Amino acid sequence: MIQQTKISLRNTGSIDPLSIDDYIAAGGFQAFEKALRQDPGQVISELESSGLRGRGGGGFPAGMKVKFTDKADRPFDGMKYVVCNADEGEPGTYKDRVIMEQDPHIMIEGMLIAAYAIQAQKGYIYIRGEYIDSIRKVEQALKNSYDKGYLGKDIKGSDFSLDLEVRLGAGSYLCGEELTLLESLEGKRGYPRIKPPFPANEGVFRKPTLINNVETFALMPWIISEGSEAFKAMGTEKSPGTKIFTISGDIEKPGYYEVVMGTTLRELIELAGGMKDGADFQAAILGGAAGTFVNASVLDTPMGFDTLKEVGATLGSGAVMVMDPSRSLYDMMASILDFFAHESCGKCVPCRVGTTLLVNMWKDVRQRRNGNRTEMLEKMEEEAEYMQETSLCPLGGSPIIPIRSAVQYFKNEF
Amino acid sequence: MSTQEILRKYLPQRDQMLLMLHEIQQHNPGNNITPADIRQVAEYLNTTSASVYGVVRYYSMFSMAPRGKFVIRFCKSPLCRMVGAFNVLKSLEKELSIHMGETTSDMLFTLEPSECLGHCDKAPVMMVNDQVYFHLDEARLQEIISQIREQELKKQQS
Repeated sequence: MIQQTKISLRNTGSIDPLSIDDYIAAGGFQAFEKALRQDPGQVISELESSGLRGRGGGGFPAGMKVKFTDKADRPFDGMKYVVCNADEGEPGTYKDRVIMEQDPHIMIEGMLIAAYAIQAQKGYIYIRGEYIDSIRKVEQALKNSYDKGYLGKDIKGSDFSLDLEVRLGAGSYLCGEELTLLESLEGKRGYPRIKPPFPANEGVFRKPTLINNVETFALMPWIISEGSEAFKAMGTEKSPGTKIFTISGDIEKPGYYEVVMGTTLRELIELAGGMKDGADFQAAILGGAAGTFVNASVLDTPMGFDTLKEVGATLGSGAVMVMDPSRSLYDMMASILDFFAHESCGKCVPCRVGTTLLVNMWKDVRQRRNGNRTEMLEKMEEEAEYMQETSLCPLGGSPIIPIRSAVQYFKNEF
Repeated sequence: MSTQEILRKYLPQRDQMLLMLHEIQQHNPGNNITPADIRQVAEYLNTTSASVYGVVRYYSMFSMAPRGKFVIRFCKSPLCRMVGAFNVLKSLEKELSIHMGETTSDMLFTLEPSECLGHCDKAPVMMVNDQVYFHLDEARLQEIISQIREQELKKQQS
C-alpha cells in the first residue's frame, strides 16, 4: 500500500500550531532564512524550475506567476503585494483549513519566501468568514511572527520588510476566484473583473500582486530548503510534488491525505481504508462541484493535472467524493447544479439565467424515464458551453465540467 | 460597543469595510446590520450608503434582518446532502418549529443555509455561531438544541 508523503502537512499533529517555537524547532523559517541569503532572482528560478503548479484548482505554474509579478513595472508608490487565497469553498475541499488550523506558520513562511522573491512589502491573507478556527490561529501565528522578528521592518537584519494582515470573506464562493477575491479585499462586492490584466500586473489596488492558494505557499519552504530537483523527483512529469487530497463519502476513513502526484484513485481509496463496509465503487467526483464525475475506469489513472485531463477528468482542488452504488447520481448532480445557481453573482446574464435553467433542465431529465433523455443531456451541454464562452469568471464556465463528465462516463445511467 | 466606537478601531479605508461590518454585526443584539449602521459606515468611509448597502446585501454572512442569538448555518453542500443532510434538516426545522431562513419567536435561533463548510469527512455538519457540529443525526440535533436552550434558561434565571 502507498504511504503519505508529507511536505505541506509535515508538521501537522506533531507540533502545537500556536507555538512558533515548536515550528522553529521543527526546522521552520530555515528555508526563508536561506532565501534571504540568496538573490531574489535565484529564489524565483528555484520556484520556477520546481514545476510547482497552483494547488487551488487551476494548476497554473506557480513559478511563472512569481516571475510575471517580478517583471511587472513597479508603480510610483513602489508597492507590490503578495496575497494568500484562503477562501476555501470548493465543495468537498478542506485542505487549506487543515494547514491553517494545524500549522499556520508554514503558510506564512511560504508567503515570506514569495514576497522576498518579488520584493513585495505588503501582503494579505484572505480567509473565508466561516473558518473561525483558521482565522484565530492565523492571527495568532502572525502575531508570533512579528514578535520573533519574522515579519515587520528589516527582517532578521536584512533590508527586507514585510507586513501581513488577515482579511475576512463573508460567505461567497465566487470570492475564491482570484480576481473576485481582490475585489472583495478592496471592500467591494465580489463581482469578477475582466481579465487581462492579470493580478501580476494589476492586482489588489491595481498594483502588481502575487496571489496563491494556501497549499501552494505551504509547499514553497520545502522547495527552497530541499531544492527544485528533489521536488521534481516526486509526482508526475507535468505535475511534480505532492498534493493533499480530501476524500469523503462512502469510504472507511474519510479525511485528508498528502500523497505524491500521480497516485491513483484506487490507491487513495485504499489509503483511506477502502470502500465503506466493503461496498462496490460506483462513482467519484474529482475536484469539487466544478469537478468531474468518473466511473471505475478511472480508478487506475495517475492523478495529476494533465493525466486526468486526458481522460476528461479534473484534479481541481483535490476534493474526492466517493459514492457507492446506493447513491443517486441524479441527486448528486442536482445538488451541484443548485450550488451554482445559488452562487452565481448575477453579473453576467448567461450565468445568472443559465445556472437556474440548468437546474430546471435537470429536473426535466429526471422526469423523462425513457427515450429522449440523451437529447436533453445534449441540450444541457450546449447551454453550459454557451455559459462558459460568455461569462467573465470561471463560475459560468463551471457547470459544463460536471455535466460533460456525467455524459461521458454515465450516459447510460441517466 | 457602539458602531462609532467600532469604526474608530479601523482606518477610514474602503478595504477595511468587511472587517468593520463583521464586527458591527457581532456586537448588535440582533446579529444584524441596521440601516443606521450602513449610514455610519458610509460616512466614515466617505462613500455612499448605497455602495455599503450593496456590499452588505451581496455577502451571505451579513444580514439586515434581526436574527436570533444563535445563528445556525446548515451545510447543504453536495456531500452533506448525499449523506442525508436534508432529512436531518427536516427534524431540525421540526425541533425549532421554523423553516430554513426563519427565526424562532423567542429570538433564540435563526436557521440559515450554508455552502460547504469544509468538514466533509464528518458530514452532515452545521455551525451554531462559532461552533461546528459534526456527524449530525436526529438524536444529536436534539441534544445540541436542548443543551443551548437549557443553558440560556439558566442564564435568564441567574
